[in-house]
Amino acid sequence: MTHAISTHKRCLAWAVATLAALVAVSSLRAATLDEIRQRGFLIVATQDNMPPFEYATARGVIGYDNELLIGLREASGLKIHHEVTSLCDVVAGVASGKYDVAVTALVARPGDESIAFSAPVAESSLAYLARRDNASIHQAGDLHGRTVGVQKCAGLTQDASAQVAANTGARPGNVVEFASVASAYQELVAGRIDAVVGTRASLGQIARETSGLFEIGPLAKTNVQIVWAVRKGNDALLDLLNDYIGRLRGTGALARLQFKYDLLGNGT
Amino acid sequence: MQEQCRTLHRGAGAALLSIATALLPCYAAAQSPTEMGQPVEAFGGYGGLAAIPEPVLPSGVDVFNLTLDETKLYSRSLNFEVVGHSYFKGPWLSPFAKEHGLGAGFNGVRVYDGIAYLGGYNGPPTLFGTLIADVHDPKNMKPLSFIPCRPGTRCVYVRVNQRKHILVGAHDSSKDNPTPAQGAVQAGVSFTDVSDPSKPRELGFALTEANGATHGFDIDDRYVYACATVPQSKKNPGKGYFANHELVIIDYNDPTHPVQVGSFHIQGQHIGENYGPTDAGNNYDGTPQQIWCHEVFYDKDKVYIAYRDAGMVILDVSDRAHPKQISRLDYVPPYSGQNFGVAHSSIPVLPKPDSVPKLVINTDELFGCPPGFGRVIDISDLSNPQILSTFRIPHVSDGYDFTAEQFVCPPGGSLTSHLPWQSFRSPSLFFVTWYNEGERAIDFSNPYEPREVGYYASPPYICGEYTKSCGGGVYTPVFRHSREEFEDPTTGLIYLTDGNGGGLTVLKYTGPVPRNPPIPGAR
Repeated sequence: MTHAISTHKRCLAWAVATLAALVAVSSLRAATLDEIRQRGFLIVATQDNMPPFEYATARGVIGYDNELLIGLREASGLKIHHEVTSLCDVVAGVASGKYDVAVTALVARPGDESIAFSAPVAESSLAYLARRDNASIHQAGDLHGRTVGVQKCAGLTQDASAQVAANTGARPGNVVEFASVASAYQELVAGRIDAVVGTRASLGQIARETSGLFEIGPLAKTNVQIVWAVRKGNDALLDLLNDYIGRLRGTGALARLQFKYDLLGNGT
Repeated sequence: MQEQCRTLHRGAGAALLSIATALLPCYAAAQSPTEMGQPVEAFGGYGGLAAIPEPVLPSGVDVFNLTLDETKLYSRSLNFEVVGHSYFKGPWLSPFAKEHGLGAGFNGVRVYDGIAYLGGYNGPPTLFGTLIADVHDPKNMKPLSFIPCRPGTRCVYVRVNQRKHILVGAHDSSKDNPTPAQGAVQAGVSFTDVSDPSKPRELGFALTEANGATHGFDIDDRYVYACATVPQSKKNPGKGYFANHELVIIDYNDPTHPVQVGSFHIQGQHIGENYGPTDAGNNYDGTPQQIWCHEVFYDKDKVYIAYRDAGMVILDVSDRAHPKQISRLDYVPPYSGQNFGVAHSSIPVLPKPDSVPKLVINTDELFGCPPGFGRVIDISDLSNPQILSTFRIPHVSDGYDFTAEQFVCPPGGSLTSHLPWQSFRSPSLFFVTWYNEGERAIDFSNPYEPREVGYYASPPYICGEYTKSCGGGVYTPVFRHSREEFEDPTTGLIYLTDGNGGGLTVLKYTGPVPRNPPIPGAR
């Protein structure tokens, strides 16, 4: 055991040093697919708390995206170096070239200037999460003038207000960004915000697994696309991802995986 | 390694890529989940239990000071609902618990007529005594009284004779108790009148051995069947971990003068004896076998004992003075008990109270890698038990490195199964505590194919940052310590204890209830 820990520490130390060097190099620009193939592994960044896409367990972060990555590893012949970090760091890191691919519950934002989005890996409607014992919120229109929380860097801040307004005529009084959804849920339980807006896929799981504390309601009638992302201009890498996702979709494997993670039927 | 890495590091540019490639095995050793490739299901399929999402707490949240709503928020459940929780903080807590802001750690729990009897736990050392509480309202549970353990002991197991209103407790020598014994530690079994739960009154005490040890036990209306050391026990059986309990039977017909009337031990446990061939040898990993009585279940003149590395032992105790072994399923080795022993509980399945059990739900308590898991055992022929199937958490227990030819496990070490409890709602439905992996509901309708039908993972009552005594430490924080459960037959509510200081949680099972008892196993 002592030997194992010692070896592990040495590995870790060299890994940190090497990765620091790698980051220094790669931060100048994103690695191309050829460079990635030469190095032999993809640097993938995810967050750790967005079930069912990714969630922490005793063994580490697993979930829907993780299973897709297992398939990508086999399909591409590339090993996966899996970085777990905050969503904002995921997005900024891909834009800067620190990470090759953002694999997390990102909502596509057409027109983004720094990152390019893959074909959708899932679809979901937007929804709100409120306390079940809050009798004043029964539908999205009840969010008018209320304080709503969203996850920072998820691309939902504008959507939350816009979609509520577009579909109900109501407009939240204040949209508060949280670095993590865990903080948003904590504020909701504490009564300092009235609702959390996100994808129905993720909010639904929280509502199901927290002893009836919350309920969710639909925010809009249109779906958003859950996507992966690469740095803008990294077209060959994007093509690789899209080809993989397309093949999964064509064979039905994507739908089977979505069924397994309760990602079907989250649209409207 | 350093020289290898230094050599690799002399280059630049493309050489960096080579280094990274060379280091990939290091990442694999660190068990990158993607590299491990562990697909999961909401429930893991036959015999395989789910990987539960670990609740993520924002910084600043004190897990030992959560409101009920926060307990719901920071737990994860499918087909369970949290309906009540209390840390039971108060003057009864140990100085250690008070210093660190922990709640009460509990082990055993029984609830009758809205009164809970809770055995304090010592890992971490939070409570040395039995707390009695009014739990009629799960949202507002109120302590009624506290019975300290005997000085120098812990008293983690409780049973209650409802008809006689007698609380039975086992007192086990423990240096963790901040109140030391004056003289020899009185290890044994106590009998307390709880006719008025707010004013418990000790009736009598049966000493099993001065400075000795006790562990799990069960009762009927007249006798206690307890795991305990006795004066004849080897004081250091030469097996590393010191534990050498056997079964003692105590008559408490007169609870003011309880007397030991019988005992059973495995050859080798007593001074002057040698272990038999199946108990003398080491496990395959080189660790010595641990032969000791761990927990007991009594049913109709028979006791089912989880006897650590001796496996499951079934005794005929119709003659309490002369218990007779009916059979023994000694599955260690080839299964490994590692350094603590393995068999934790052997619970016969009782379709009706007067049924003759044909199956046993057996669990390990094994902190190594791979961690302990559960087995379904056919006992239709009592003299020849057979393992039919297992139930495991593949996510933590089935990872195998074919290159190193060894199992690989997540850090923590507290990933083992613990106590099964047959639901009053169906003989095919069991609840099983599983330490860090929470509480699991398992359908045994087909004993060959156990299926998980619900789970509850409490908030992460982390003890590792405070103490290593609960199996934690700087490398292995123990997130939760789900120890024992009890289902109140009158309300259907489930009372779940946490050993880390997370107190008592009241749950409601909302999942499917199997309609039939298990189909036969041996056929």
